[in-house]
Amino acid sequence: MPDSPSHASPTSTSSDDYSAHYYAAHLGSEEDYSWDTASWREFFLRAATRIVALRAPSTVLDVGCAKGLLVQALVERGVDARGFDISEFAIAGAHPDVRDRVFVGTATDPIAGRFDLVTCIEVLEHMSSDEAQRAIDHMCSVTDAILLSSSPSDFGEPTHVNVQQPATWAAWMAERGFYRRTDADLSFLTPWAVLFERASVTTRDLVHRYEAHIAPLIGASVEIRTALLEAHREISDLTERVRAGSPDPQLRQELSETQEQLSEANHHLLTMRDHVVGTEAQVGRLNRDLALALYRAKKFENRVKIVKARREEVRTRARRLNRRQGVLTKELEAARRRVEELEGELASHRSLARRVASRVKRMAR
Amino acid sequence: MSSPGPLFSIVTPVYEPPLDVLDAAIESVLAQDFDDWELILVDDRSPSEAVRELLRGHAERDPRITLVERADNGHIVAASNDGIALARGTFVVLLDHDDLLAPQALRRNAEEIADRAEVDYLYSDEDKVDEDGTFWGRFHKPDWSPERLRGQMYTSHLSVIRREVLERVGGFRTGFDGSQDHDLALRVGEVAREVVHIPEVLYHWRVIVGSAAADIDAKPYAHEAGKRAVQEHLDRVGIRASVQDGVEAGRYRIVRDLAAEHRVSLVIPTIGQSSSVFGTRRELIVEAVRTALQKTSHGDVEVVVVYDSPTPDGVLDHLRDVAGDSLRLVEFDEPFNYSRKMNVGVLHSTGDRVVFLNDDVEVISHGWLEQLVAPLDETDVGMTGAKLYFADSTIQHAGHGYWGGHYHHPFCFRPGSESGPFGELVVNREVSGVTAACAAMRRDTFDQIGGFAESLPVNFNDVDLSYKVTSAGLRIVWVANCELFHFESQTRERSAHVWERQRVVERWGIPGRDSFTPAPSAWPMLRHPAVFDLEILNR
Repeated sequence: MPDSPSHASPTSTSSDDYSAHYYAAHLGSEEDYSWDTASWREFFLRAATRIVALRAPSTVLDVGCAKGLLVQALVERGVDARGFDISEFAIAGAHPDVRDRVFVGTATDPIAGRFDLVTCIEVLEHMSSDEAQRAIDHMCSVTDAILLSSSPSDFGEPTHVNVQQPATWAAWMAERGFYRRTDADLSFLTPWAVLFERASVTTRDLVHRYEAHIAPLIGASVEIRTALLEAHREISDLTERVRAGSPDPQLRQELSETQEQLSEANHHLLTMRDHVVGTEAQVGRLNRDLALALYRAKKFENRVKIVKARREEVRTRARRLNRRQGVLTKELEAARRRVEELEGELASHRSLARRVASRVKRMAR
Repeated sequence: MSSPGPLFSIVTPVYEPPLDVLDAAIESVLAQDFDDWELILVDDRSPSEAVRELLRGHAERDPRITLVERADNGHIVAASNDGIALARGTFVVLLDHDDLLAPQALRRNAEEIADRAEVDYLYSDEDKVDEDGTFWGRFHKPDWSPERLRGQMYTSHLSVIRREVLERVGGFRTGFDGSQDHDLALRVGEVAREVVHIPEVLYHWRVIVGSAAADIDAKPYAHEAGKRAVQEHLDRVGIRASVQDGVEAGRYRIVRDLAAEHRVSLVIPTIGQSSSVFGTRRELIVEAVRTALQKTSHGDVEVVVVYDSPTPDGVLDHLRDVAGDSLRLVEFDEPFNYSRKMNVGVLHSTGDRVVFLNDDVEVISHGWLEQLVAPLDETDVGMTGAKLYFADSTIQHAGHGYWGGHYHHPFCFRPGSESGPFGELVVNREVSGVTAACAAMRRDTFDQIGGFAESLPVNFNDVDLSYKVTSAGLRIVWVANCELFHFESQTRERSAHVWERQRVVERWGIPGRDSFTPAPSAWPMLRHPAVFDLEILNR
């Protein structure tokens, strides 16, 4: 607010410091900081979802809301959210959908109304220490829960005039009766975001709450450091060995054994190939031999057929001849009998002279 | 051409031959027992009118004969090309004006062509014919041998070339007179899809003193033209080599360059023996390695020595002295198995080229390694071998020959200075196999075919290896200008067992006819009962 008394303070910033250039240069993203940019829109929608899940607020006030992206995201998630920002440029650039939910204002002024949750993200480090204290007071007066995020380390940005450690913020919040929700992890927003709630806590409860987190963290830290040290030593050892080019005797032994096995496998492969090539050749040779043998067999088969046919022919002729012989034999028999008959007939008509002659012949024997 | 031409166009350039000889040549065409041909006679302006009279008479009597009468004398190249330009046949047959075709020449070619759709070039055997009609001096040619053709014009007569191919390569070239046929054969061979050799005499080459068929010695210009033709061929096909004069006219030495990027691994088995050579006792392996390294200019040579455990330490020390950092010693403690030793050696080597070497050799020729290894750059060459001499300088190895049921060392015991009947001992040539006493392979080929057969521990492992290379579709080249002594005993009884021979026969069958070294051309001066089979003589 230009007419604010604190405006004179050299460590305070004003609306003019958050011009178009600021948004272009300091938001950690190459992309245009607006609702229309998908990556920013999705980032704030995810954050809104988580916030609703954590606390289910009906009303939220975003202090230092810039262009109202978180406001818009919360509205999308059904929350009655509002916001204000010191930058006129930012408010002027708000999306039409949330134009009536955001306004120009400074956190050093008292806040009207009452809210289930006040968010104040990356705002307080831009204000002087005194202004920040006042802003915290105002916020604490309108809510019982504050989501506070303020960068503990980004000293490079010129408008970060009040960078403090989370412990410092937590202490200031505790002065006002607000304590960290140690069960809530807000790293979806920034690594240092914390949800503070108004509570009346005993020292014992508080110690317990923090110890429950510190003890495991210390343990984890020691383990991580030990592992890191071991890894470092191993790396330097390996580096040394690679540089020296001499694997340890065991590795060397393994290497030579592996080489031996490889050599044996190669040798085996070679003899197997010889066997395959030889067997293929043998099969080829046998096939040729077989083809030749089949060819010869076929020729023999044909000759056998011819011979068989001739044998059949000869047999038929033999049978015919046999039959003819039978007929001839019978005819011969008949002829013989006829001769005998004729001879008998002849004998009964023998002449005297013949009879005498035959008797003389008989006597002469 | 509108009408389909005949199968054969015989082209015969004519220049002043004796009339009876010319008539006999034409009659030998008319006497063919095959009819689908035309004869184109080109008179190259013969001085005698009688020559033209004779040609005209034939052309008038037979419509298949065409006569071209040139107005001027253009020499053989121009005259032959004139004839080819008129040819209508599918194949062109080249017949000289004083030679004779065998009566079955065209029929036999036609039969081979009918069986092979892709054949572009056919050649057959030839002999010589005297004035009295006696046939003699048959040239038993090898089957298609591109490397042999670089060393000599061996395809010669009768050459039958697909006309389309002949036209594609541009016919005969001027400037190569006297070796124009060699130049043509080289160019046709470069593009031919298939080249066929008919191992029968289909052509008789007439020898008349002083005729055109005179010896190439009478025509030094022909030798020079041939040399140029071979050099141009090498340049065309991308072989880095130079052509040098061979020991006789018409023979050429191909001297190759070996690319420096090849790592060559010599693989040598040994038991560290010492022996008396040329009257001096020597450690064989040490001298083998010493001469091998001394007689090469190649930079990247690795020496892998596979030594049996009993090898004396002194020998190994001497080897270290001779071979230095290039030496790799591999101990072998198993029972003797030559094949296994060689396989182990190759597996321990790192070169992309592998040379097998016996330990009882001594390198003679400078650049032996380059000449032995460089032909392997041709991807269809699978193995190369060397020319080996006994200690008395007679031939020990000039390629293997597998014929007539046996595995032979053709030309064995011939004088080392001999050229062989048709240059077989002085030109590089394709062979059926080589001895592993000195041979080279690409590592990828060795792996692909499975190295040496370990089932053949002593004999015939190189025969089997050669068969494997050939069966993979690769050529084996015997390199005439890679010369070594091989101190193998000349009198040693070769004791091969029946089972060893059987093992090779099981795979590859009984050898019948050798494709590259026909038995009749390989007869030795001396016969050795263990090496040469008398039975062959009676064939």
